[in-house]
Amino acid sequence: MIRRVAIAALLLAGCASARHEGPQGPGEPPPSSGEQDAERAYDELRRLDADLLRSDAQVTPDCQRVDQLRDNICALAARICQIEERQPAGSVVSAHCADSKARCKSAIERAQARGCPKK
Amino acid sequence: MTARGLTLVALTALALGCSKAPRDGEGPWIAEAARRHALADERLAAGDRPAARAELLAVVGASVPTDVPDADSRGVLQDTYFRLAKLDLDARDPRAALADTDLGLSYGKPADLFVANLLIARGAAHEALGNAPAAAEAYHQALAINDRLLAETLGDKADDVPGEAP
Repeated sequence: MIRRVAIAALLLAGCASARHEGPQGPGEPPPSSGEQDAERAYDELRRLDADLLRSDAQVTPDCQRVDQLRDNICALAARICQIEERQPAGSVVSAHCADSKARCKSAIERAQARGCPKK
Repeated sequence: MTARGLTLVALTALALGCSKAPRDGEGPWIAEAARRHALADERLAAGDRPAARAELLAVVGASVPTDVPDADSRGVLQDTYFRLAKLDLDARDPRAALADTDLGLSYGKPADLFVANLLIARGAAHEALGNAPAAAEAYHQALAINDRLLAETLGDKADDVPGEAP
């Protein structure tokens, strides 16, 4: 629904923009009241379009799924690092542990940044 | 919580994510598989693991009709092999569990929760067999899939996600 409104708004804005940017010679008459209404409508559309783009960027993801995936990542990272503790230094498991820890930290931060804080 | 408990938390959470009831319009093969899974749940609730296992084996033993899309049959079969592996792990038979995961993964390895589940079960089987590096490798592959799915859910760009692609 929002998408449909956005497309409609952008189409309207595009049409208005073409007219809006048209040259107006010095000898041309001042805009009529109809043109002024169109101008106001165009400005309103631009404002709504900007609001829409902002709200699109701030859509809250499915936090239940985000929480589950983040928790899976961190549980697996913890498991891998527990295994690593029992391995000789420099084993391949060390690299997996380091990568997993970084992914867990990043998952927590990314989830939090999108409004899904760790409980 | 013990390490084993942690792994099982992940297994359970992933399994919940994959369980699904048959939808209207799904073919008879998928409906039959769902019925067998439900029966396996009932057998497990009654403490009858062998009967639960038999229900799941019936799913993987039935031939898949040609009109079932590959992606659907893969999901059903991999979910079933995951459950079989979990039963074998619970029964302290990691070799059988490893064989279950081999069979499950033979249907493909796209980055989804069916494959992640099988990799976690594979990691647990390797751990039980004392093969720690193989266990860590399987867990790490499962982790990378979860990370990729998280990135997709959050709409992240690839640059935002640390580590290598799964």
